[in-house]
Amino acid sequence: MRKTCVLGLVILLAFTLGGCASLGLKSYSEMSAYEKGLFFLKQYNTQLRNTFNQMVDPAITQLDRDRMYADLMEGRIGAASVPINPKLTAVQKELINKKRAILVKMEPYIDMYVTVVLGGGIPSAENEQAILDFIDQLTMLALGG
Amino acid sequence: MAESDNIATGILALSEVAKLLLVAWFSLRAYQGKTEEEIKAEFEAEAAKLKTYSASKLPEL
Repeated sequence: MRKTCVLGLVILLAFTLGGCASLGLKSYSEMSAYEKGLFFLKQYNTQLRNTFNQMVDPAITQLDRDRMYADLMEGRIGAASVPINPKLTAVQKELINKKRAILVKMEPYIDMYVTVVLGGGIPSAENEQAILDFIDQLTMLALGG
Repeated sequence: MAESDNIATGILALSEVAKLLLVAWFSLRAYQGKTEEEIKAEFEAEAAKLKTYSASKLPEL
């Protein structure tokens, strides 16, 4: 099964890279600090929202879910108020917790990157690499690694 | 049954990876045709979100 997943990932990567190349998109090394920072921020914010969606009871409507997410993140409700999907298995809960833990660890590195860019500086290569490593960890987790 | 569970898990894993790749692809694609000012404005909007939106606010299961 793992081989199938890895093969699937390789095919997806090939399509993605092929798609980028055919559109004449900038390569990662050609991107400015703002562009890379925006890419990191979008990855983080999207993964954060996806993690919330994975844990919430699917009976909650999309509109209520959007409102609940904003309330949770803006401090109007606490974590205990989030209705958790009762059908989640122990394995699924563990995966969601791992994803949450990666995002928690990733956050200060993105914050540091953003602060440096907004201050007109150039983020360190170590900071950038740390964020890329967290994105790798999220990918590996999605593959069940 | 176990085999079908494995297949379902594999499909879910691939869809998660596909989502990650799609975000990357659309993010990269979105930069095309955007001015530096537009990218900076979007960066600042996403950065403002980061100040409030935190994974530590999500419940632990």
